[in-house]
Amino acid sequence: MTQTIPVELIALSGEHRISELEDIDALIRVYKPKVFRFVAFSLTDRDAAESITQDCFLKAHLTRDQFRGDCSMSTWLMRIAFNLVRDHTKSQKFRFWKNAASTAVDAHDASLRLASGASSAEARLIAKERVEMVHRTLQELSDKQRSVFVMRFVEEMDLPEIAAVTGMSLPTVKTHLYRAVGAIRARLGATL
Amino acid sequence: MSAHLTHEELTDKLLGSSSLTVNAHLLGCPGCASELDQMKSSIAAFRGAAHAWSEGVLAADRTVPVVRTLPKWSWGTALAAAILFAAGFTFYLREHPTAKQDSSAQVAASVTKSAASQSQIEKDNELLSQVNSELAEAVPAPMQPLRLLESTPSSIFTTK
Repeated sequence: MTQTIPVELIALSGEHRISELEDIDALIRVYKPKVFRFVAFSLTDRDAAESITQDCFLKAHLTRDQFRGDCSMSTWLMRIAFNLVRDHTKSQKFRFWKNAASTAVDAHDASLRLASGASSAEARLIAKERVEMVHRTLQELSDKQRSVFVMRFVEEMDLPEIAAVTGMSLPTVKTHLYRAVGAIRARLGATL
Repeated sequence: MSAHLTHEELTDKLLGSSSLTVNAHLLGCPGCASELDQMKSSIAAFRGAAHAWSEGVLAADRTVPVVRTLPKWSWGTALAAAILFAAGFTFYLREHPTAKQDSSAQVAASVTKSAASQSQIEKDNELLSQVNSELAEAVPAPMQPLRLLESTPSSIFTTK
């Protein structure tokens, strides 16, 4: 008989067993926002992100026997997502028919969803402009720089976890972050 | 104190791994502190917008079944292919006997046409034979009267 651990425990414990992967619905409920967000902002393509997010959980479920519990569930899922993003990016380079405009993650739409807690209309406008600026800069980064940036600054993963997910060394992760932050800093400096 | 923080020092501070020296510099340098604040607020705004956006998108999609074994376009393509196949097969079943009848009629018409063509060919051949026989004569038609004279024994052109 398969024992199902409550979702809250999966999210909080960090100690996971293979049996926990049996409850795919709970897994999706807990981790889907994170995986979807990472894929969406790594690819800047919403439709592809939805498809890849589904593929990620499907792959996790199908290969659940390979999960040994030597890392957190989040790290394992993000590793699968990162590999799917990488594969997708490689294949996309040869697809000239891709209609980016219709499926792209809209920076304007994203910026409109900013928390309305900003103190004034001016503050909201500044925040909106900065969100769009960061989003535009992200699109100019390399695939790896963008993924690493999203993991660190959107998902707030620490550097060793990013290294574990991407298979990069810690100095390589830091180098990607230096370049990504440098690009944003340059753009920010130009707009001020 | 150095002029300003290097890019690496500023990024390290953003990453949360700064040294005491960097922290001390930030306390005494409004320029670096301001730039760091702007970077932090920009990234935080982006993070907030990204989270809000993804939550909104996923909330809108909650009515859709969570696990799909194939991407959306694959289902669409498969459905379109199935509809096309069904329509084509139905059309074929409906139209096949008619097509067969049409084929028989075409054969009959072809045979009739072939017989008509044969008689036409015979007529043409006859005409050609007539033309050939006329062309084969040694004396052209305009000179026929001369030929008649030549054949007459009392012709004035007869040489002795």
